[in-house]
Amino acid sequence: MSRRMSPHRRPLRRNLGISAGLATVALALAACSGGGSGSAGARPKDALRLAISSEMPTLDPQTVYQYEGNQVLTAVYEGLLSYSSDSTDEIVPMLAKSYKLSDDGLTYTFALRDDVTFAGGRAMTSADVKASFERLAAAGVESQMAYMVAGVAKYQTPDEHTFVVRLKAPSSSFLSLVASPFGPKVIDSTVLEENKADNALEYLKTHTAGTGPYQLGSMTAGQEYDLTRRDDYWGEEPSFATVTVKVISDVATQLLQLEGGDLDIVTGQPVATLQQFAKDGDYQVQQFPTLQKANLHVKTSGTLSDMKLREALRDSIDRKTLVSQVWGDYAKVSGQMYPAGMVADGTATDTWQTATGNLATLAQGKTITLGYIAGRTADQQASEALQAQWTDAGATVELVAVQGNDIYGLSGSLDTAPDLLFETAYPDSAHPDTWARLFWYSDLTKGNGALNYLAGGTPAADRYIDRGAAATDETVAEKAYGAAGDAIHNDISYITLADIDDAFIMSKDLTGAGHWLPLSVTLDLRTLKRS
Amino acid sequence: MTVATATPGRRWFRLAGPRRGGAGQLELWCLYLIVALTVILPFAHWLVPSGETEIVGTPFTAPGAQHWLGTDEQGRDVLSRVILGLASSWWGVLGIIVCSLLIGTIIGTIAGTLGGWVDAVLMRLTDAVLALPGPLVSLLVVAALGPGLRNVLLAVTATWWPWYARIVRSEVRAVRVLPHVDAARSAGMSPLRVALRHVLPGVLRPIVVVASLDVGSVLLLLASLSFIGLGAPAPAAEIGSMSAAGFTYLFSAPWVALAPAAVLFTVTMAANFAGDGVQERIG
Amino acid sequence: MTGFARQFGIRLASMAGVLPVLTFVVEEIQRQLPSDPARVLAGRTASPQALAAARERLGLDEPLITHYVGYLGRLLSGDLGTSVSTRRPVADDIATYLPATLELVLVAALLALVGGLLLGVVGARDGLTGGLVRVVSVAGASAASFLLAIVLLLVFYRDLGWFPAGGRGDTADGPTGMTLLDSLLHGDPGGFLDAVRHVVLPAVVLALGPAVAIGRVLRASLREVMAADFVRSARAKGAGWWLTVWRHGLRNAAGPALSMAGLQVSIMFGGSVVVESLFSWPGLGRYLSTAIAASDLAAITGVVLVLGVAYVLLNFLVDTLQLLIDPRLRESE
Repeated sequence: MSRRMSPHRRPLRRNLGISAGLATVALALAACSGGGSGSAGARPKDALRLAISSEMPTLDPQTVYQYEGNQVLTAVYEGLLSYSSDSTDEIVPMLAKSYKLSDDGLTYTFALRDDVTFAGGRAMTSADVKASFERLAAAGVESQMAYMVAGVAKYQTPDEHTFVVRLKAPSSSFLSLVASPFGPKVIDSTVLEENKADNALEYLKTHTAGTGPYQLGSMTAGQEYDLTRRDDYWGEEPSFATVTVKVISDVATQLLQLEGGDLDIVTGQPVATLQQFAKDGDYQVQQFPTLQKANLHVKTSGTLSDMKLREALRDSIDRKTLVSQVWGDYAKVSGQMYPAGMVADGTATDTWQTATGNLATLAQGKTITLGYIAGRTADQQASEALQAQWTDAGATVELVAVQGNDIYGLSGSLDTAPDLLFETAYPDSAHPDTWARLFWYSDLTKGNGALNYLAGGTPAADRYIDRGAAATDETVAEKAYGAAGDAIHNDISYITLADIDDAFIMSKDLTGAGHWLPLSVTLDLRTLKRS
Repeated sequence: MTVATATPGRRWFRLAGPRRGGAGQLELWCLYLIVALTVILPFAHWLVPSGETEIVGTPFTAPGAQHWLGTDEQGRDVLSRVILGLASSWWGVLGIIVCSLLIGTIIGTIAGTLGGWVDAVLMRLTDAVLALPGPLVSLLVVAALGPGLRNVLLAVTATWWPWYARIVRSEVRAVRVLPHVDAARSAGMSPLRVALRHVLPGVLRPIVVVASLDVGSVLLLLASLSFIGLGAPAPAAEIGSMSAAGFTYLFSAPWVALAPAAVLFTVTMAANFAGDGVQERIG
Repeated sequence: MTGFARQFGIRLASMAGVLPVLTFVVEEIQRQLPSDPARVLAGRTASPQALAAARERLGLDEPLITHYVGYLGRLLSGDLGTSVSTRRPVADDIATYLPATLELVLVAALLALVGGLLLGVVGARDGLTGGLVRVVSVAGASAASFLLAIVLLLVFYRDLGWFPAGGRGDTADGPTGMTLLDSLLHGDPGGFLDAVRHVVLPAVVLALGPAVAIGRVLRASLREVMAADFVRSARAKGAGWWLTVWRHGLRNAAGPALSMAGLQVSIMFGGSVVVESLFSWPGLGRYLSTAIAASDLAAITGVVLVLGVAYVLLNFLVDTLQLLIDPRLRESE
């Protein structure tokens, strides 16, 4: 784009011709030299540096609804319950010591810890918990997690350390949502009171007021968050005095900083890099199960309204090859309609014999479009691999990059939406309702099916989901959700591909990393230390 | 480059012929390379070892005898994809420059020939577009229309033509006052015929010079747009998007990112030197 | 009316003419979008009523001129819409990230000017040095910014460890938001040095292409000036080459180089999208690349508009500066 305006130039000398070629070679050499030239510089003993790939729009724990940034928020804020940090689906006490559920399944009574303080030293009481829960549903906050407390009839605080929630109807998923990493976090109510005018939205963008082991020391918008350890934290004192969370969008740059000794942990790296670092003596690769799942949304109207075609399309997917190519050992072939471990083994299965069958005949003369979310490298890679498999099987498949925010508009304009949409999705908790209701619910009018982008699902499946949610008995619930999964599987409006693990590359000297099952790309910093 | 065929005249013999002291050899060879690319790239699909999306081996095979530039994350041949990507960029560059040339020449000739208020209006418009930050406006247009080669062509051409319009207009005004043109006009020739017969041939030369200097710049602009995700959608082979995807594997499979980037660098440099050569000889 | 006032008036008028064009282009693009801006504004779970209200607020159902006037009115009151990805007003986001980008582009512009001066003056010499400079210039102008960025990172961060890999360093709470200036204002030399170390690599990547372009223009005008009669007679009287360049050449050749520098700023703005992402520079370029990935059109148009206006204003300043420096321009036309 540079404009050159010089009309008079003298010719060059002949012997300079070589230098152009040399420059190319030199550049290539500079880039290729020394694959991993070791970790420069000593890593500070009580400081931890990690990276997230995009910044948080705000530090408000009740409006951030994404994986990225929870590395900061989980260190600062806590909820009443939590998922266990050994990456299982066990729910453990946090700010509540215990809870009791009434026989009618409507009333939860939480016994709060009495030794919890907020940053600044004020003791936490049930009034703080109540204010925080109420804020989640406040109209002005516009929280996308508000649905979690939508079924609440009222809150009560009989004493300073008892918090009672009464539901309008029994909800088998409520407890899991309270424990969810995206669930209600307790915020200092004096902060909420002082900034009442805007529900403290502005204040909490750049300040923290939680009960966690760290508080925000300083932040630079778009660049980094500096967390400092709290001396009066109620739990065990974490090992690192400071934690720096840097915003680095490029994975190659993250890796470069890891190698240069400016970062201790990176994640979100492709499998080729993970394999390479797993062999490198200076680093370790830690792997944790998650609830992340790679799936295909299938549009049952248009080209794929033919059930036989959908079936042939699904059956010609070779998931084993796909998984090993895109995720290597860091994912497993999906066996169920739900994320691994969410429902009992052998229920809601999603398996098939890979066979190309008569796809070529059924898809003849048709162009099938496969969408993926633009900018997600692994998603694009998986979509390209799927396209290649289908092309081999005789179908014509075109890829469409769907821009991030446009996916929510797809169900509103189905005729222009792609026939298939690849997505790596995750539920808010390990409860099946947080999966089935968001992704499969076919009746979109009642605020359900928020992530059912291609309007799949069936009314029968909707009824199973509702039955599961209302069940007070666990086996009844499990059975209903299993039936919902079977209905979706038979309808082929949703195809599951892989259960994806989290993988972190860390410097060798880090131990004790904790990980929550429902929260990808995030580590529990409470137990992490440098040996 | 279109330059080689579009330029009337003897000067090209001089350019191609032996020169005093052999000076300018670099530019000359680069020009040959560019001409050769223009001739060969349209046939790229028949020349490459494997197809654009064809999977030829295991992913991330290092460069070797079988795959000279290795394979990428899907197991596709990087060399083939780089060549095909270059071919599609090349079409893009030619398309943008030819379209800009056409629009610029038409507007510039009309403004320069007719003069008066037509000239004033057209040139104010041209200046206004020139005053906008071109790359950003292109980016906005592609982002709004949706990624893809056609929209990129449209977006870049929309900000590129004014440069040509301005040059053509000033050349036309300069040529108009030459005696033979003046005579033709006095003889009652219509303005359009004057423009076609007498004015345009004189204008071609400076235009060709500027166009040849632009090849490298447009090439880089296209690659940058594709790099930030505004090029043709996957799995199309494009230099920019291939580099962008390859950066993810920069440390485990550097060739995936560096092969397209290095080829882009070499070809852009050759285009720039060739542009210099053209400018020197006929500018 | 003096020549200066007249020429200044002409330039002022043309700038005043460009701004409506810019806003009109942006507004029309926004109007013609395939995706529904009203839905973007109202959110994905919007009710039909909320959607209708959003349509009305955006004036999407109005005729062109009314819509444009309404749009201008909103712009003037600082309303650039709401970003769907950050869920904040675009104007607020831009205010947060603009200083970082301005700082980067200013430093890059300075580097480009100095580099262009060097390349231009040395390149204007005959002989091997001049030739070498020309070849290196062309090579530099041929490297895509992503290639250049990654090579500089590998060499100067990983292998040599001279410069940090990204970010701006610790920012001072400062009046300007530009780390370099703020650290100076706070009397913090350590912070200033740190900021310098952070800005060098991204600024070099941004400055290289523009430096070459400026160098070319300068070289061309220098050679022209140096071939002029008065310069030749000066040299014949025994003045050295460098001295002549200094005394006669630069003064006469500075004008074209300066306007080229002004034009190149648009390339730096465009380049900042790639450079800021690779160097984790928390500025508008990275904001823009995130917005592109999320098809956040309010954010994209907002950034283009603000940078576009900045560019138009800057070029107006450059033009005025030239008028002040070069008296010849005041008499022309």
